[in-house]
Amino acid sequence: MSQLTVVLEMTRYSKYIMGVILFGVVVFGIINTLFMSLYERMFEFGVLRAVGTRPFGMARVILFEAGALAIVSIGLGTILGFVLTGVLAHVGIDYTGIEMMGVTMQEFIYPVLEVQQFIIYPIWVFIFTLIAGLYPARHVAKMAPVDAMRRSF
Amino acid sequence: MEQTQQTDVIVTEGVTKVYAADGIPVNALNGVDLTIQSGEFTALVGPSGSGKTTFLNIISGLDSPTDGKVWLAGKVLSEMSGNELSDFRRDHIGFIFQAYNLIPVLSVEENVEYIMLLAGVPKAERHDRVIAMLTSVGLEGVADRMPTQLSGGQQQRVAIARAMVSEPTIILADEPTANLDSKTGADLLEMMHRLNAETGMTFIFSTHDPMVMESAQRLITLRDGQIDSDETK
Ligand SMILES: Nc1ncnc2c1ncn2[C@@H]1O[C@H](COP(=O)(O)OP(=O)(O)O)[C@@H](O)[C@H]1O
Ligand SMILES: [Mg+2]
Repeated sequence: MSQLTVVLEMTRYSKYIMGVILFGVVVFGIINTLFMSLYERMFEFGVLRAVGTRPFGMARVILFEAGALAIVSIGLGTILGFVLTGVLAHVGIDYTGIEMMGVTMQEFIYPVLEVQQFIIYPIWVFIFTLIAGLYPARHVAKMAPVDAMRRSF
Repeated sequence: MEQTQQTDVIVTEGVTKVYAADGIPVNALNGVDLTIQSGEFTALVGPSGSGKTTFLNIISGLDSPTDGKVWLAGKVLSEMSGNELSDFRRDHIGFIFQAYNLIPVLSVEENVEYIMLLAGVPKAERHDRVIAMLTSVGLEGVADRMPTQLSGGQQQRVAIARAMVSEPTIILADEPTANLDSKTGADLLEMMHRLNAETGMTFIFSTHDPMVMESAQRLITLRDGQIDSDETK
C-alpha cells in the first residue's frame, strides 16, 4: 500500500514537471505566434503609428490579440479535455500488466473529471498568455514608425 | 498665393541627417533651413536619393534629425514625448504615401475614420464627415468596400480622404502620383489643388513627376541633402 502512495506521489510530481514544461512550450509558442503575425503586418503597424496612434495604443492591439488567442485556445482546450476525459472515464485506459515502481496494475484506469482543473488551468493559461504578450507588445510600442514602414515614406 | 494671415507652419534650422547603416555614414541631409507657411502648395523635387523622403519623415516627427531643429505649428518636435508626438501627428499632419497604405482589413469608411476615432470624435459625426469627405474626393458609395476592391487611383483618393478628414494643419505626400497613370495622377492633383484652395490646408509633396512640379506654387529642389534652389511662382 505504501508503494502505491509513492506511485501516486510520483505521479503528482511528474504532473507538475509536465505542467511547467507544457507552459514553457506554450509561452514560447504564443510569443512566436504574436511576433509572426506582427511581422507580417509590420508595414500596417507603421502606418497606424504614423497617423497618430500612441505607443500604448499599439501595444494594446497586441495584448488584445494575445487575450483573444487565450480565450479561443481555452475554449477549444476545455471542450477537447472535457470530451476526451469524459470518454476515457467511460471506457477506461488499459494499464493492465504495466509495472511502475514495483506495482503492477491489475485494472483499467478510469480518469475522473475534476471541475477544479477546468477553472484553475484556464485562468493560468489566460494570465500566462497575457504575460507572454507583454514582450511583443513592448516591441510594437517602442518601434519607430519609419523603421516599420521602411518600404516607403 | 495670398500674403495675408500667413503663419509659419514648419520651420527647420540646420536639419542634418546621417544614417549609419552598415557602419558607413550616409549624409542624407546637410543643414536644411526652410520655412513653410500656411496654405502653401509646395513641391519638393530632386533626384532619387537627394533626401526628400528623409526630410518629410523628419518634419513630421516620424524620424529624428541627427542635428538641427524642427518647429511644427510652433512646437519643437524633439522636445515632445512619444505620446505628445503621436497626438501631434494625429492632430496636425495628414499623410499620403506613395503606396496608398490603407489598412487592408478595414473598410474604406473605417480607414478614413481611424484618425477621428483616435481623437475621440463621436460615431455619428465621424460617419457624416467620412461620407462628406469621400464625396469631396469623388468617391460616393464606396464607404463599405474593402481597399482591395478599388483601383489604384481610387485607393489613393481614399488615402487623401483619410489624410484630410480630420482637417490637419499640413498634408505631407511622398510621391503621391508615382504609382498612378498620368490621367489619374492629373485628376488627383487637380483635386488636391481644389482642396488646398477650399480649405487653406498646407500641402507639401515630394515628386519626380513634371506635371506635379508644374502645378506647384513653390518648388524646392534638393540635391545631396541640401537646398539647391527655392522658387515661388
Ligand atoms: N534607412 C536608411 N539607412 C541608410 N541610408 C538611408 C536610409 N534611408 C535613406 N538613406 C539614404 O539617404 C539618402 C536620401 O534618401 P531619401 O531621403 O530616401 O531620398 P529620396 O526620397 O530623395 O529618394 C540616400 O542616399 C539613401 O540611400
Ligand atoms: Mg523618396
